[in-house]
Amino acid sequence: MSASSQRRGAAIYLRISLDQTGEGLAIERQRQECHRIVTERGWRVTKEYVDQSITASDARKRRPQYDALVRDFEAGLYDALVCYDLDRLTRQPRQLEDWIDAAEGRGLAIVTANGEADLTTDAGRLFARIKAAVARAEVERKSARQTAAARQRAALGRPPLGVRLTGYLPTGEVVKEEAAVVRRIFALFHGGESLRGIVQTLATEGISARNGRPWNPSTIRGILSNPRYAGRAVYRGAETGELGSWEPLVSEDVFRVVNARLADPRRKTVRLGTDRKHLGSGLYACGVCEGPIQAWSGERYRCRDGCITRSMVPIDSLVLAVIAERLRRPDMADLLAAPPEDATNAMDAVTAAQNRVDAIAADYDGGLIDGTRFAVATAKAKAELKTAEGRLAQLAPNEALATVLAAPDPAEAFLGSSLMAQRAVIGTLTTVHLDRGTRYTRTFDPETVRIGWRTGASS
Amino acid sequence: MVAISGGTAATNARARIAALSRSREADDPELLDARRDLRTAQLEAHIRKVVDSAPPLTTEQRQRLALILAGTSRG
Ligand SMILES: [Zn+2]
Repeated sequence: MSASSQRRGAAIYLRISLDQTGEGLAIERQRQECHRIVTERGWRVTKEYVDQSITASDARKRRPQYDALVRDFEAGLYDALVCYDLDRLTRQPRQLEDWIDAAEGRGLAIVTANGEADLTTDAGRLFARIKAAVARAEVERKSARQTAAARQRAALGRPPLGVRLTGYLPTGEVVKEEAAVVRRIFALFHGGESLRGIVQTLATEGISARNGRPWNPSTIRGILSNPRYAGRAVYRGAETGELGSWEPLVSEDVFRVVNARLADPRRKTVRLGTDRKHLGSGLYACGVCEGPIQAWSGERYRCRDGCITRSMVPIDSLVLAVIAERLRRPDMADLLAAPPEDATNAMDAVTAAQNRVDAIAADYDGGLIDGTRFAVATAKAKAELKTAEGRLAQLAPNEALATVLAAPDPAEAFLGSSLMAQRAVIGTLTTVHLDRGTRYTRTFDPETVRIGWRTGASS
Repeated sequence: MVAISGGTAATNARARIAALSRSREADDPELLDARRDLRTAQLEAHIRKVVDSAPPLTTEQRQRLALILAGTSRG
């Protein structure tokens, strides 16, 4: 249509969200600004599209007028689009990129009334792309936050919420067909099959993952290393004696063997030392003899001399919750400062090297490389990692500190991090002494876990 | 028994237990629920109390934490 008429036909898109209050006035301002732009540019308004009280960040929530806007664009009913800002248009990175593509490829003129983006110019499109990238990072961070929140729920002994675990309903009941697949995965790996071999077996049998996609080594690993399949990682009554636990899909023995194999010695050397399988072993101390605490059979901690024997789960949960709460205190807020470029680069180099190390380990797991090549490649990648870590360590304290930007909330980063990292954080902040528990009661007394705060350099 | 006072949540849970225990059996689900809420509230109060006693971090501690957390959250 732009060919037949020199005047562009402009669609105006307005959205008010009830997330914020008092936006009744705002929409009138949005509308006036948008009309002003159309007039200034000598365009004409084809149609106004208004969505109310719907957030733009959730793709599943319907925005009827937004849908109409997209349909009408496909139908060629306008060749200019004016909205208040890009956030009003969409907060979905994918959708945002579609609009940028339309601006670039099909000559759609997109202008925002707040002046931040004019996609008729190169600079404006660049800005929009950055915005799309930031939006995507936000979506990813949000999902990381949800993972961390779930861990925290577990730390407080609450049942998991949200995305359900394959094999179970959100309420905890077993889903028979899925449970059979989970058991089969454990059985195959227990029987000596590699991660990649399991992927192939499942593909041959036409069994896909719950999202309909084929299984891959990392999703298989995720299943194999999830302690909930062995009925673990809940309080199992140790804390309250009342919290229900779900039905395990595999025995404790199978789970232990499988996870020992996942943490094969040849892999251990490339991880941050996964030899410790329990949060507190070698880290906590006995409150009676000061000796180190070790893991004992049946999910218990014990000191070497046996002065005390305590259930692991409530103790670990308490320690995790205390550290998370400490990291949530206001004096940690400045950990969120933006990182200078040096730190970002150094951090990226560390991440890249770590990824290479992990990839080599995955290849070895998957039977793609033999032990010799594994050793050579690992040595090289580890040398790179060491160099990168050295550079990072040389940064000024403030810069190194600022790299925590990668994890907006230190508490969430902590709860979402590996066992070894959690142990390192606990050791940096505290000493933990376990006193004798009260016998003959199932009630956990947190006072019997003495958490002392370190005031200087540590372990 | 946990020897801490707890905050509002604990107070509320205690009040609910008191009200329920007048009319309900000992194994009534709502009553058990309320008891569990109380324990959770007490645990949370205990955690706050422990953290309230924490000293400020040293620079070394902060730097160490930053490195650990930055490393793992990206890796
Ligand atoms: Zn001892």
